[in-house]
Amino acid sequence: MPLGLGISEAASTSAGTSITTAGATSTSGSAVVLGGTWTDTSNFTSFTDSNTNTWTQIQTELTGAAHDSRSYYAQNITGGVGHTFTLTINVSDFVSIWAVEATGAATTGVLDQSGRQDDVASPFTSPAVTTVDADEFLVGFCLSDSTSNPATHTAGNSFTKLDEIVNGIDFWTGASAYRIVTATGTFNTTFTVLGAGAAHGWIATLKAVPADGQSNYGTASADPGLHMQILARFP
Amino acid sequence: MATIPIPSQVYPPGVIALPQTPVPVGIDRAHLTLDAVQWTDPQTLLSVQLWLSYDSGVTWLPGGGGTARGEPDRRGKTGLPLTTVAFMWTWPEPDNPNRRVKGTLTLSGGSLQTSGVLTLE
Repeated sequence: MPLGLGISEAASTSAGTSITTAGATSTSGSAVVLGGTWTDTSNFTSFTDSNTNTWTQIQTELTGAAHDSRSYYAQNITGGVGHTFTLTINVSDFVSIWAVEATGAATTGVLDQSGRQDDVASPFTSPAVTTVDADEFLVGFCLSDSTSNPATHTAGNSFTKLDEIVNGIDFWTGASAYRIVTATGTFNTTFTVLGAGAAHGWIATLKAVPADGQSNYGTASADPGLHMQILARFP
Repeated sequence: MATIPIPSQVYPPGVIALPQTPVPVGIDRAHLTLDAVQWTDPQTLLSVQLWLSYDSGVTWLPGGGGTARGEPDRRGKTGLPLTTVAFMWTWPEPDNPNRRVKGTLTLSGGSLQTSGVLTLE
């Protein structure tokens, strides 16, 4: 199964303690990357989803002048209809969440490279990362401090913009984006954002299901003797 | 664009139902704004849950949710007093003519003086 874009969602609140995306139909076995931002006077509590997948933090929390951000991923997810994602903080405050699903991603060891930085000059970029595999799914988030409405985001570097939150009066603004690459290289995200003075640029690169069939190693064989031959050849 | 109003009144603990409403083609987000000027009790918990149907109301899936407290003295991003509480969700299938939305606002722990509007954008 080649790498592909699955679901993508975003949601935000101006004075809530949690925000949950609308439900969408995700694919079991794929990978999901979450990005979230909140006012820096609040504290992160958790990322969760309606299918109780296991979430692993990417990098560490990024602290900015006014807002903080985190990113998490889950691999080999339990998907399904009405899949939602929730970001919870410790007090009532401004909170925004984005979710991006990559289908055809590796079910183990899916995260290759990642980076994040607080950029105070437009265009707002993530750190550059160099991928290890040829076929990878790149996910980017630009989480900005714009107080414009609409705070329109424009993605560069051949990334395709997905969901954006543009009401900078009521919410923390931002956008998600993705890019599928077929050769190793050095990549970063870049966004322009109307009215933003700073933005958190995140990037995560996800590996594809191995094309050499290693993911099938250990599955039952129609011919048990085949395994014996392999063991004898490669003791 | 379409709107679903929430009348101004003191709402006791319980469920406020947002009626089933067609979602116009082209809508890709919903924006709920609630007047919070009279919110004074942090023990009052508000839980918002929207439901979306893509088949004219036959089946329903989560359309977005959130929670808030009825506490006073909210501050906006710029530090100024905040008189509203807002939620926003992106929605899939903007070209689907069979979408419907409905929802509930559930209050617990106390009552809440509010009004608001769910705007489909």
